[in-house]
Amino acid sequence: MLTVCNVTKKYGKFVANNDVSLTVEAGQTTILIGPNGAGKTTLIKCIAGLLRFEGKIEICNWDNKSIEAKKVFGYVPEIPAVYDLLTVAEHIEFIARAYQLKEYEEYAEELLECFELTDKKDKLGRELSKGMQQKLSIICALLPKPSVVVFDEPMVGLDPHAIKELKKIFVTLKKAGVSVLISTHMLDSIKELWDKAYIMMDGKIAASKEKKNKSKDTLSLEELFFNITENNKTLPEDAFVQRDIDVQRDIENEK
Amino acid sequence: MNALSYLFFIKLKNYFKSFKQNISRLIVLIIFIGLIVVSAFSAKGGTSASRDISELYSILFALYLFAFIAGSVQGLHSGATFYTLSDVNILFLSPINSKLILLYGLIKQMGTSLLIGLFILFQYSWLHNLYGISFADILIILLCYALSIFASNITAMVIYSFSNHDPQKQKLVRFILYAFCIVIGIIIFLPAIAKILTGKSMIEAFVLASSAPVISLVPVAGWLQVLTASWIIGNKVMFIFAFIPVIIYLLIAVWIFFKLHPDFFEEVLLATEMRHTAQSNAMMGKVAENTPQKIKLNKTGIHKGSGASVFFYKQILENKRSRVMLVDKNFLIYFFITLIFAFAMKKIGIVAVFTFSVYMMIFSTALSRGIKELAMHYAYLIPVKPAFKLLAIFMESILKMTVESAITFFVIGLLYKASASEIILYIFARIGFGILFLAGNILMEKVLKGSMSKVIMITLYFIILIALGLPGVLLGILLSHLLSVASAVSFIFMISFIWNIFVSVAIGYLCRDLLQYPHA
Repeated sequence: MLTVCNVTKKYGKFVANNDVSLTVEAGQTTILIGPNGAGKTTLIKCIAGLLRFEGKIEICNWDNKSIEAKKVFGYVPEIPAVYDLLTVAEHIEFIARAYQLKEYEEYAEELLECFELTDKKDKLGRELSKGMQQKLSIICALLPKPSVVVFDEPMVGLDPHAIKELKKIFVTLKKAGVSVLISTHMLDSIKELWDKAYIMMDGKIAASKEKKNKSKDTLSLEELFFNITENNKTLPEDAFVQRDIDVQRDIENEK
Repeated sequence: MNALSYLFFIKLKNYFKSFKQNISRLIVLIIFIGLIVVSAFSAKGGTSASRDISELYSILFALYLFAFIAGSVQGLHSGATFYTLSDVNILFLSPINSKLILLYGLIKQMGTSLLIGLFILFQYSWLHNLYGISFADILIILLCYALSIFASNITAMVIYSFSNHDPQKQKLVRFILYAFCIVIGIIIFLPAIAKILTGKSMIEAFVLASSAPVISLVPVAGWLQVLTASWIIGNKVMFIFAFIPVIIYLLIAVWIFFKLHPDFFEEVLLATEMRHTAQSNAMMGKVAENTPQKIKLNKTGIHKGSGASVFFYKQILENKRSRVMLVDKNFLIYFFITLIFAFAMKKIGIVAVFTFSVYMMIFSTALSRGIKELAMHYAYLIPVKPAFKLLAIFMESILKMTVESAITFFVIGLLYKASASEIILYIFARIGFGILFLAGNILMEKVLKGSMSKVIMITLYFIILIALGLPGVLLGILLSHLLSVASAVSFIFMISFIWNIFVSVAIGYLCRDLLQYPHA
């Protein structure tokens, strides 16, 4: 279980996260959505213990910076971070040794197969494409079989097969009772997966929505998202048509 | 106003406006100007030189030559670029004449080359004191250095444009570059050796060889040496004439580049993308890995380590992959420079060489694998006590600096005919400073990371390192004076070693939770 309690993160005078609270229950898939600059990645980095903050974050009832919390926590960063000079297999060995995992080989093989990296085991980190690096980053996060996993834009850069497999993994993690928090822009891709959604805007949680309470809501998640984030600032429908007419007129004038 | 001049001037205007909006940048600018003014005023009055000015011409020839060759060689790999990724994505797609885009790039690059060379201005004080040069002279040296960088960029673009994706042409270019270096080596080393055999000192021999008339024929570096020398001696006619070959070279290089590929966009794309990736990585705190292009995977696997210690064994494996066994390429460069310095400073003594080698270590420490490791999130997430992780992460760096110190002061100690005990003391003293610098880096990560601009960070980095190390030296001087120690220098080194280790351990203890809170 993940609990974020009144978290505020400031950079000088700029408030990136303002009194944010959320929970992700065991076996629940929660999504964190919001426009660019809403503060999602900052919040995720606070959860991962990578940033200082005011407030409290607990992972399975442990302080998020404690060793106990780190043992049960997995994090997939937005930008894949792999070691240039280690092979795919060595990344797995490194994580296994660092987390002191036993009998991890079979699970590692499953993950490699799932992400089609089995034949890339002897490729160096720097030889992998960005998408492959992202797959490896996911494998490294999942290898210690964490109880809480946080994904920051996990689908960016992945091919359709990997996205399909990642969705399957989300389902498997949910069935295994893992708390999953996913920050994403791809509302369509995760619409069948989420149990709870938090919409962030200007560093705050602007709204939350639970799927099981669907009958009580009148708006879909997408409608709710656009209602909050767009604030009716849409372009007039004929804007592009008008531009085409202007360009055509310029060309004719030049002739 | 056309789009390119608009872009150029608006960027310039916004650059100056940014000082108003970003007070830290303004502070850095003021400090920077202040340091130049201090450097200018700290120079002793008068123009009398205490050393032969030919030495300066030799140093400048080496500087221009290094800048020119090191830049030109890039043409064999990724080429060079005058552009940013935004130029590539916006300007290259726009309906603007590609010649104008090239001109825009050239003007921008000249400005960048001048900025790269600004460090030269800080050398004014000692150059004035030793060689009696004026501030106008140092500005000309800066201009010539910028020209050598600029010429190397254009040469790299020509080389890349000519030899890209063609192994035969690459071989040809490589052969020409090697031949160029060998010829320069011959015209310097042979006369220098001959002069040494006739009884001249090593410095005198090399100075005479590298300021011989034939050197003025060496493309770019030799011409720029003549340009600088003619300005310093006040020969204005020669100065103007010396400009001619440089200008002709640049014009011909640009002409060839444009003739080879009038649509040169493809030629600069790779270099632009690589530079953008390096800059993005640097902004995220990831230091670029200086690794061989081709890596053979003979044996795979880390095989050792559990918990924190796996960081150490992983770094050893990474070193093997980088073809680093005990020392790396950077160390060899620093060692070579220190050795030259040791030859040059033989009259002054080994303490000056020690100080110089410690100064060089400031840069090598900042590039150590331990510091790079802190940029990866695994260092923070792995569930082991932060203090153990910190120790394991820096173990490889400490081991490496021990080996480097031993090699450096074994060789320099022999050169200076130092006793075995003195050599051991110098080695330990250098290791002490190395560990202190690592601790300084940890302190920077702990206290300052993410809270201010990179330039302020670098400035503070130097100030912090001096503030940490200086008390040890002063304490050593004070105690040696109070206790009337016979071998004062050795005593000072010993005290500074003890001080450095004490301060490093104290910082390590205070920052033991660094790996819980990596960023601000």
